[in-house]
Amino acid sequence: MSRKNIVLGIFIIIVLFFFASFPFYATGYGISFFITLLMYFIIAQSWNFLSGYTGYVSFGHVAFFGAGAYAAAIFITRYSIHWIFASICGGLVAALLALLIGWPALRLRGPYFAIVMLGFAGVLKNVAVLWKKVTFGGIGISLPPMLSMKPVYYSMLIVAMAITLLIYIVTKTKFGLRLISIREDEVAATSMGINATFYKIVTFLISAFFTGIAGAIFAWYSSFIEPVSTFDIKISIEVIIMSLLGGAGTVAGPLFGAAIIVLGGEIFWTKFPLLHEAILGILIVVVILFLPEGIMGLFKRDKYEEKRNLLIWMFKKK
Amino acid sequence: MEISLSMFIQSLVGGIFQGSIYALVALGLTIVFGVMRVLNLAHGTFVMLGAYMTFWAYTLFKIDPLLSIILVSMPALFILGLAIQRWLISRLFVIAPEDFELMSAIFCFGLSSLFINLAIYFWTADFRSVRYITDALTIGGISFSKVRIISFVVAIAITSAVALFLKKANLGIAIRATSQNRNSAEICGIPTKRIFLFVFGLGCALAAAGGSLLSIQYAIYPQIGDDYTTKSFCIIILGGMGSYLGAFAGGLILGLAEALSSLFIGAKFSEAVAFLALILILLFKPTGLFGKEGS
Amino acid sequence: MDVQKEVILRLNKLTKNFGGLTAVNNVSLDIHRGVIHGLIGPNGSGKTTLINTVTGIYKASGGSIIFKDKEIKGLRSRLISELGISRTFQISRIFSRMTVLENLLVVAPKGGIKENVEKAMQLLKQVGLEENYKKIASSLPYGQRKLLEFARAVMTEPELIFLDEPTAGVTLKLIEKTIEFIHSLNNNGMTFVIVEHNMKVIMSVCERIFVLEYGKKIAEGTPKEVQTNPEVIRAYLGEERDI
Repeated sequence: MSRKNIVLGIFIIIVLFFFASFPFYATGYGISFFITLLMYFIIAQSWNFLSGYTGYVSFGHVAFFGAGAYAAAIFITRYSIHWIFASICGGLVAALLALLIGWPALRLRGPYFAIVMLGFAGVLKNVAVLWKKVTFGGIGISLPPMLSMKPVYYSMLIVAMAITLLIYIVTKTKFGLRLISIREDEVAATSMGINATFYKIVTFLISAFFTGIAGAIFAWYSSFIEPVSTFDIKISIEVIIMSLLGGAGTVAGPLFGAAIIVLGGEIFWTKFPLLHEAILGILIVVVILFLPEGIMGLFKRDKYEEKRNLLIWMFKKK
Repeated sequence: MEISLSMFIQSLVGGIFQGSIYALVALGLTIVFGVMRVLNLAHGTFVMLGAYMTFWAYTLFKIDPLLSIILVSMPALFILGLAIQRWLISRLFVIAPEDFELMSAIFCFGLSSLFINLAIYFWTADFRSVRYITDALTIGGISFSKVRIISFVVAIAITSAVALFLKKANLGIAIRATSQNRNSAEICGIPTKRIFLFVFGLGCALAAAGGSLLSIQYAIYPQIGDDYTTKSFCIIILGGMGSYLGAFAGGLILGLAEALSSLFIGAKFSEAVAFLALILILLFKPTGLFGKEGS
Repeated sequence: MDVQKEVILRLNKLTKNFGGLTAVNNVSLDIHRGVIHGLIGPNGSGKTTLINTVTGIYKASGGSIIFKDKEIKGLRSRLISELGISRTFQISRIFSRMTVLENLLVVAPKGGIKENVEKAMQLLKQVGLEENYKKIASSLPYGQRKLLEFARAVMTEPELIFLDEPTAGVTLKLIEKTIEFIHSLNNNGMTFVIVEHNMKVIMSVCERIFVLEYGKKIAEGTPKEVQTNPEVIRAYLGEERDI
């Protein structure tokens, strides 16, 4: 083991210990803040798993978040299922939807998929508003009050760890390499015998599953959901910017990105609530132009693409 | 529910009226995509900005809305488009030449989020409307709102003018050449960079024209463009990405399909028609109704 | 050819249209196992389209493609690759943001990571890239990228490889390396179809040559036969005219 690995290992253990012990000394406010943070860890990682690795960018990941939230809320209120099982059901419903939409959309080129996902999120929101029999429309669904935040905290933590670990393991296997080959050149990949459609759909399902679980736990945690905030396009934007800022297609990048955005939102943007999303928009623009590989890109030893740096932007004419 | 003939005709005509605006907006999107390969997810946002331009011109300076399309909203958005292309998107070509389409999509997504929320911040999320011509025209017992007829005529006029321009004018021919093959066009001495500037400006201006026409028919609000982004994309995929005729036909088809489905099935579902059409076309003919197999 | 070898791939009246343009027109040809074939013709004569059609990137408009007694027309490119046809691209399409070694590992059809690494390193050694195995693929110079792509095609364990202009834009030294690699694979029974503009390479490497013009096959035979074929000379040099 190299020294770098040991340092990294110790760092990870400290971080894990911090997260595991946090609820024992934190205030209620602190825990609820961390629940939000962990939730974004999950969604950003899920998005990253699909879009960062296969290059199929989803502009509507909130669809799975909302679907998971609604599925769990319905299971809990109608059938009085325990919220943990309901959360898994929420994830499964999201994955099922992903199968339905991914089967036609993922066989096509990336840009088509991007547009389909944008539309899909809009359609699901309309379904939540209009299918009143099941979703109660704009009135929303009230869930039984949540009594303790700790179980919610730990379930978010476990799911966040699970998806991160999954991504880490996948990147070490042929599965992960094949995802990246799809991102790099899908035509070449399929010509070399790689079953791109299969890999894309499996990845999409896993991504939707975890996003759905995050939505489901969120529904239980917030005790009330309604269409507009549950299917808010802002969530889709946020996960994209989190992954891009940290570095899409890396294991740790989205975690850093999510931490920065959530923390920044808490400290700074609460003072300018109306400009929050406008700032997110500017961030996307700036990150793409100046940091196309995200924060993780800064740590890369191998700067093989020189054209992607700030100095050239400033001094070199096109 | 009984559906009378007059209701049917009214909804048919209404569908074509709405379809003409879809066609106008989608034409802008398809030109931008066809020539530059930019997936402009901010297109609907430019529709919204165009609508507000007309609204403010009318409210603050009493400029006639129809006049303001030509004098205010189209020129203003043309310049905005020019600036975005000149300072931002042209950089993207340098930064991400390989996966330009997707990067441009994310980029425009960010841009749209920025503009929409600035609009909310400065102009509030309130519904606003331009009270223009409010009376109706009655033909054979069926009444049509005058303002919608005017909008239809204007939309068709602008669309035809642009089509004629692309077909006949030297610049239009140069634009089509660039969309066929950028490198060859450049070798033939076509200044593709300037073409790109013009094309993005034109795309924004067409979106703005659509927005202005919306503002005299409906109440406007900052998120009004969101639907137009997704619907325009549905339309141009339906018609074949980059096909001008396809965008026009697709716009009219969508307008009619929405009107008829809301008449027969209920308004609830008309929202999803565009999306359903998109999925079906992607499943069975991904190149679109008017598209050709690419190489 | 003295000994008639087994036909591995048979194209029968293969046709590919793009709208009104017929890029491949009624082409029939036999590819024999263990033989290095050349596919030549002026620019735009349909060579690359032919490869793309056989490997499933384009759908054939007509005719049949028989590989090892099996009709493969209409199959997806992934399945065709699995059956044993691999290829390189005219403009190399390596996985740019992966390392050199990963470029090979990712396409290994089966086997554990250890044996695949061994196999990949062996291939990299043969194309002279073994020292660069950790490098990001896009950092390689153009010629080495073409070699890497060639090695990647071999990694899929094919029986037949299409090489699309393997030496275009490649330095002399690397051309030698490429030819050496072709010969060493061919000695182990690999079949090749090489599209190439470099006549020196084609004439020295290939045993059998097909000539396309405007999508049609106008000649075939040994290098000698093709070189003296009046049709071929006409296609390359234009009609003879009295001045």
